[in-house]
Amino acid sequence: MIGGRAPALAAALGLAAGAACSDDDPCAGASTCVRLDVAAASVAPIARIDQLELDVVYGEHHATTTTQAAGGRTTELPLATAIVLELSGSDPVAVGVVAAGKLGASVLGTGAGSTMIAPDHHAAIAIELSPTADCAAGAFYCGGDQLAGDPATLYQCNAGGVPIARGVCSYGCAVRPAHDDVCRGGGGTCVDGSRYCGGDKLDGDPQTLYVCMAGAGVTPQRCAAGCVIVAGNDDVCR
Amino acid sequence: MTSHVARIVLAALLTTAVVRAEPAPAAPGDTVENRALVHLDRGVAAYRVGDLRRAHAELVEANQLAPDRPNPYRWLALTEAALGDCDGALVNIEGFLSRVAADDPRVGELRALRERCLRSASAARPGETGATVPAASQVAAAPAAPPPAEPPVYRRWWLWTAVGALAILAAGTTYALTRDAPSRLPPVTCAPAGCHP
Repeated sequence: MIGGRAPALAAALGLAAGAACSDDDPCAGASTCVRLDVAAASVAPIARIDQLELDVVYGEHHATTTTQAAGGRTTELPLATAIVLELSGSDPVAVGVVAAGKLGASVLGTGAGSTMIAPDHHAAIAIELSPTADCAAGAFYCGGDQLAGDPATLYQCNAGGVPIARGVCSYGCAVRPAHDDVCRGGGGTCVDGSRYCGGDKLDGDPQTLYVCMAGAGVTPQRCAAGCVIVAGNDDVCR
Repeated sequence: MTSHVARIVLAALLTTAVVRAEPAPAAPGDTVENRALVHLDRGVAAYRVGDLRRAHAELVEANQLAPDRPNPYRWLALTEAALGDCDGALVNIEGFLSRVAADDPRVGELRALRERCLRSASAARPGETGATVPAASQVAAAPAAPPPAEPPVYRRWWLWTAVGALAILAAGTTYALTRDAPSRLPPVTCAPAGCHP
């Protein structure tokens, strides 16, 4: 009689277990993918958003994009999404993400995270959205200084959305009260009269080209498509 | 010889009359105790002539009227065992044993009956009715007991197995449907040219 009961119980347990297990990995089926888990920080009463704006720095590339539910529906936090990377090469790349949760075009909170990922692998970043600080629109900040982001990345404050990365600071990001933050220059001393991207041998914005003058950058020139460091020669705007 | 037969016939008629008699209307001043005794006596009499169904009905009446009295439990246990309902008998055996002193002379009889019922339950051999209790002469005098009644549905093992399985299934399904699964947003794809949803 016991033997007769066991299969029935096992079947019931199996059904229950099957009902409880499902594939909820947003990276399922993707080759190189970063799973992004977004939640509200404990201090931020953010229940729902209708847009998730992302600023993504991946390897040498940078882009800003938005993901949202179909039909403009709101989405409850916590949420999960995926960043599928289509990159050539075999070396691992750094992926930095700044996220802004928006509802009705208002930013409710921002957060940031980063990871390294090798091609054909999966990684994960968890981001907590916190209320936005009062950054001055258009000004530059290191991540964590008045805005969410990676402390070694320089961002531009975007009052209506996610902070926009200006670039990763190879030698660190310097916080300068009352001035724009900058990437620290490194890798040697700049040569007077030569041109350098910010952060390459002189302090500055990685997307701005400067002329070296007594170790500092002067006559800044914003590069619309980015600044390229050229070894052994002047840096140039792309 | 004729007078001997006549006495037997008379005794049989009297016994039948007692057993078949409808309950007498309660006389003024009758106590519940007395009415319980009437039912008990009828039950015992019916039991002794082998009318086990009637005995059971009378003894149940007696037991309900005087639930603190041990004797109805004893006779109910004996009757149910004779009817093949050892489960019911075991309940009434405990009811009896819990109401009498340990040295009561009837304790041995009921304990023996309990043993037989427990053995028959563990053996669970088809056709075994468990305990027939009454003395051999009484059993011999009694008509054959009816076949054991089908156990009620709530005593079937498969009922509770099915209930348990359904409960587990319902709990699992509820968990799966209500657990804190994160919401989902469409993925974005990032290529050297940029990112797009």
